[in-house]
Amino acid sequence: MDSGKPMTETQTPVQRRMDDSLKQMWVVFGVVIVLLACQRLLVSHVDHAALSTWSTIFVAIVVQSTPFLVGGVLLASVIATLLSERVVRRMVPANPALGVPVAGLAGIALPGCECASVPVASSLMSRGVAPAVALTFLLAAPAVNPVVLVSTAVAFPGRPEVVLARFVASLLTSVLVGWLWLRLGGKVPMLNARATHAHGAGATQRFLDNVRHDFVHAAGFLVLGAMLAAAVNTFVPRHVVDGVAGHVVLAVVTMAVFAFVVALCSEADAFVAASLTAFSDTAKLVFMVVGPAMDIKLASMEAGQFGRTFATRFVPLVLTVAVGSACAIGWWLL
Amino acid sequence: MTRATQGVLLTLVGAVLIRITIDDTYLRYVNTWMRWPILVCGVVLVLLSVSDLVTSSRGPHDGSDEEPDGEPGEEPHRAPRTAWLLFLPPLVIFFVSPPALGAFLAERATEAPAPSSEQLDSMLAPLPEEDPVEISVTEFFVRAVYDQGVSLPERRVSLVGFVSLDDDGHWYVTRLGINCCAADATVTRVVVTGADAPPRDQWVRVTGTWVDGSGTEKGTTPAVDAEDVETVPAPRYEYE
Repeated sequence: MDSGKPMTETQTPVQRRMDDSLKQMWVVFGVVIVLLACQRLLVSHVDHAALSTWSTIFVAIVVQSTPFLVGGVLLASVIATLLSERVVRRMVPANPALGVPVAGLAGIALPGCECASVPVASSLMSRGVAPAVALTFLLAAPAVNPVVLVSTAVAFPGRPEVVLARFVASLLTSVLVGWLWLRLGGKVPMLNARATHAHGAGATQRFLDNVRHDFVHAAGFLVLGAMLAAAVNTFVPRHVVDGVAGHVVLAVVTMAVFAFVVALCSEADAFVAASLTAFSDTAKLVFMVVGPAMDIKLASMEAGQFGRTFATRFVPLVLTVAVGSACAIGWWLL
Repeated sequence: MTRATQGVLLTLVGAVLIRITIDDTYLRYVNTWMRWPILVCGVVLVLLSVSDLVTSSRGPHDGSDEEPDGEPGEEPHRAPRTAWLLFLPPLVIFFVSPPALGAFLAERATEAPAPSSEQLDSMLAPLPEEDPVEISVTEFFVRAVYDQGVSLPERRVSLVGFVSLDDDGHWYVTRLGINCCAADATVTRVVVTGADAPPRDQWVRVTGTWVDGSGTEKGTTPAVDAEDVETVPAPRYEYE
């Protein structure tokens, strides 16, 4: 976020910057070592049911997402290092209006969680893919891949129409957002916080630099999202959520908000949707379509990757389109 | 955050991920199949910071590390301030050492979803001949609801789970189930009658018989009439 700020630092001598950077490292290193040494003294003092439940869920979300994030970062770096702009251009249709549906369908091929798709989309953009096309891919990949569809089929046994509805509604969401972004997104300032290591270093070095850079950038926002999602999971009683299930409009809105704040991985959200038995099928579909497309963790990561101005426009757009298409498809198919 | 600090951070996160897979702590947070992804991820993160150490110690003055490459004025090796948050999970794992979810969540979680037809087939096979027969809380629940309890009468069963309570003064032998991670936990529980409640969150083995007709309707909870309740240590993997 502040990568563009320290203009003055580039003018200071290299030597001094290295000293500063080493100083920071040693301070951090020292604090970590002291804390680790005091582990036994500190552990017993943190013992409260709600707090420990929060920390379990917080750690669980981070531990669950990190391997997927690293996988996505590796894939993104492969794209950034190996695929030249020319190759990517040849694979993606030149006309963005045509590229959007192609990107949506390409999402079927990448099983992964939504955290993986943020760095991948960012690296597609830096390879010259139109933002609208890359964003369509970002929305489609976690929502329509085979792993998610199979887990939905398992969560709703004997109800193939739910799987079909989810597939259609998610694909529709990503393609519609892509097309809308083509029309509306042109003026939105978008930073792509991605370092370009084009000169000097060899391919391996460039690859490793990319991986480290992308991971460190995205992971902080993942942690932030996980903290909030764990708080909602722990402190908002489920019966409050269940209480509004009877009301048609309120149920849909609640499920959309719930999907946004609990930030489950897309492979698991079908099971949670199925367990919310009080809600109508359309409301459950809203939960399953909104969740992979947009949640608090993704919004946080996208704000970090593409800038806050981008996020304040993109997040509401995706939420509106996702709720709309889920309601339409739910009304049609379920 | 400087590049060197990022190195410390990546090593710390990677080392913690490796450690929680080796000492089985990861089972408190995620499903068993996450073992290899987490381990590989931890190794990748450690290797990443080691490789950085090697390249920067090999040639700190060749310019490739510290020269701002890319756009002028940009310093690509500085990470945003949010990156500091990444120190939090390893520190929480060490100092809070969060336990597996227990009664606090079970008393407010949603009920487990209906099992798939394959799970049903394997769960509804005839009970083995042992006495008492040890089955999972989920299986007991499923046999009551989906099999109308036909396999349960006249059989002594033993169920292992932790103790949770409700507002009406009942206590339950309880298990939580997770699909991916603890954030999607759902609860399965069986009312225990005929015995006093052990302390909340205590792991117990309840031996007894099915209360005739309990839990056969969807939305109701089956009950077991306990003849013996013994405390047991928590299993290695606490979710079902």
